[in-house]
Amino acid sequence: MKALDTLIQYGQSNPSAAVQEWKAAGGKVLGYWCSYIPIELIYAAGALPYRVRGAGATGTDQADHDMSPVCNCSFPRAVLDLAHRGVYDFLDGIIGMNECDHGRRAFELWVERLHPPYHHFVYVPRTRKQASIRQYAVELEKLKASLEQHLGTEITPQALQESVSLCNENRALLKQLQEVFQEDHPPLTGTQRHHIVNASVSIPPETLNKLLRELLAEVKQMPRLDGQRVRVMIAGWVGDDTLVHRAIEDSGGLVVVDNCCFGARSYWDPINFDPLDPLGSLALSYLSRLGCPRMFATFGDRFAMLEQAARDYRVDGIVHTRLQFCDLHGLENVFLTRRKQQLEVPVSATLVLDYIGQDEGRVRTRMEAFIEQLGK
Amino acid sequence: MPNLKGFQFKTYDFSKRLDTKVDLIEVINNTVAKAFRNQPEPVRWIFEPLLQYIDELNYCREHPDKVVYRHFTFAPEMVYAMDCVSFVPEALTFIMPTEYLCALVDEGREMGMPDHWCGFLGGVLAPIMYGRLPQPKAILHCNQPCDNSVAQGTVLAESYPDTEMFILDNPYTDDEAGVQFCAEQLREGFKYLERMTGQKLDLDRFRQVMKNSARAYELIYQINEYKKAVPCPIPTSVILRTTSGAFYGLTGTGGLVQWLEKHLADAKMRYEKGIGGFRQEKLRVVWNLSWPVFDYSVYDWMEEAFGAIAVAYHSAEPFYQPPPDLDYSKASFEVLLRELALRNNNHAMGRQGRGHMMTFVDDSLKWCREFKADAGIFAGHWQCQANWAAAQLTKEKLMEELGIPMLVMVVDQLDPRVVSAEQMASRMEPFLEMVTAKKEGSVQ
Repeated sequence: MKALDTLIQYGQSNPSAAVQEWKAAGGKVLGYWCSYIPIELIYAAGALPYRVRGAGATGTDQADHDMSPVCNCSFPRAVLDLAHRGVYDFLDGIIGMNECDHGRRAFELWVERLHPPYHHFVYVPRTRKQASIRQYAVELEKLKASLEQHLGTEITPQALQESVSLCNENRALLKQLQEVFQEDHPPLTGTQRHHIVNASVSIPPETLNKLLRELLAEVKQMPRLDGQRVRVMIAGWVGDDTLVHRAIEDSGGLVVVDNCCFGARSYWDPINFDPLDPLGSLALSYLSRLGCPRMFATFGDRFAMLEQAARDYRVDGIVHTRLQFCDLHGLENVFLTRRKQQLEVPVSATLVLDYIGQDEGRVRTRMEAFIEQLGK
Repeated sequence: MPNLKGFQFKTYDFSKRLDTKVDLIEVINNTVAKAFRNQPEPVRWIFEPLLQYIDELNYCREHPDKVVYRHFTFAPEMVYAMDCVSFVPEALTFIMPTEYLCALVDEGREMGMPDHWCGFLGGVLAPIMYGRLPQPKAILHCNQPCDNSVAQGTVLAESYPDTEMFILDNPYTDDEAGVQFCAEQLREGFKYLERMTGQKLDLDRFRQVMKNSARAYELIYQINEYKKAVPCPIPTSVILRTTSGAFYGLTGTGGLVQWLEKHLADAKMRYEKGIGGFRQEKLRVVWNLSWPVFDYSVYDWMEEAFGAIAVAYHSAEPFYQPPPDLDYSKASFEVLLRELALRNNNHAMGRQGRGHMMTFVDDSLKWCREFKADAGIFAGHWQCQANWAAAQLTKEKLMEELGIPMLVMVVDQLDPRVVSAEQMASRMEPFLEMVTAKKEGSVQ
């Protein structure tokens, strides 16, 4: 099987064959909620970090018992529902954080109701000031100690440095793959790339590096996409679902770049590791990278990335998305509207999504209309 | 139809579009402030803190050099200690007439604000972004109690790009490490205010402010102790908004202390005479989370139709233990910082929203137990998602540990177009019938 096919298959399954192999070999798998958790620490402790996703959820009724759909986001409800249904029983523990109110509470309810074999909460500050970076380093020290105790291991400085190197290589290779989309006719679709990103947060880093290197070799030989496609950037939140990508690409568009959580934000910036201050440097890097609106007043960073990426990838239009009841991404539309003249490309009205995708028809109609509006 | 017993809730006319491009402080002066001042003498004292805060809003316009924007769960003592004026944009939505609030929410939605956005913050989105409010010299913001507040930080950053902000990262835990983290940041906060306002921190002034604050918390604690009596001596529907607004806006001032002393004297007198509220107490209810700011007569209806008195308001009032008995006149800066950190961490709403959900659950259990509640009512402002996720667990724990039921219902604290007072009554009616029957022994 080609690397591309393998990665897509891994990205579509929850869990993938790679995880099952890891488990079969006696490896531990620890779930984590959000990309602000340094996976390097988990991997250095000998466990596989697995970003929990909603893939495979067909409803949220079991989670809805605790998290009312009246006002709670459908993504954490989908994840929690899968946990209730035993899909995440393969996890040897779960690590939560305060990414948003919904995710934080879903983690707490997971622990309260389902009693996983191991759990740990990481408080992640929302500012980049010195006191917050120091506090985050303290939190990482607690996570390190907790992992060491639970897994009966020691996270040595050397193991952490190796783990950071591996994960940085993941990021660099994903960014190389991203840059392929600067071509007029790239060999991959945005939907395929999105599957690969989903795979990247849930398989062993060595496996990922090997597959990505193979893929980068494969793409040089692959035929290029034909036809004139409208080049689109997605900004906001799309999760691990590919509905928006498919809706755009089925309508004659091509998703060439994104600024999303399950997307560029997870690999855009490398970790600047300092062996003399390992946890402090992790804390600084994680709080400083291209982030989401959970971080205070960081819209300017995301906007700068949009501006740059729109130029680099010759974007024809930007689709702005968010999940229903997402407060953090909710207000971005106001700011985007204010500054969109600077972008010099059309920005869609916010596409509000429900994670389970019951409203596929509406999403497809909206994307068809937007692509038509941009039509080449 | 709910059993309204001839009860008339407030009515609104939303058919006309109000002009929102007005001076909101002037609107407040000409409407609610006037109404507070025109209250009959025996109850006029109740509204004094709200009038005191409105005076501060007016003062802001005359002294722009002293205007410090402050998030509503950022303890106000810091601003008073710096001899500045705390301007809380969200307080405008809390005080202003409902029709204006709804018009401003609509204006925010026209700007792209999501439909589900919290009205407390959404009601001032347009005034902030269009520069209709007094310009701040400094901005104190924080990340509690919810994601809306975090996103509001971007509203402020985008609207006042030349005004550096101070953001308090509120901790998740209630332990000493959480207090120290907060205190460490507050130390920087004082330096920030000195830099931004040109004022120097006077330690004696800080001491006095913290002394006033401690006294206020001590007084509210004593008042709440009286409220545990049967019948509850405090008329609930009229005092709630003032108490809540007073603590959100005025903690640290002498004015609040003076008012609470009157409040305590009134509670004591009523307790000693065995006087309850305006109506006969048959049921005692702990109200969880959000009350309808747009129509307090929901409580009159509860009392009139069922004799159901809301004796405690979880998340709205400060209930925790009074501060330690310190000699504030000699307290060091370090000691004062720690006390201020505790105030921030335990600020009403912030306390329940920022950390683990069991804080909300345990507080609910505590108040229901101590106030001898027959039932809880979780009126969930539909934007308080963190607390919504604790509702079911709270309901189960109240039944398991205290044997009392809790109603869970959706409200919008400010906007009657989402859930009207009549709708609230129709949800509460069968619940209160059931609680009444249970108390009378006609059902198990």
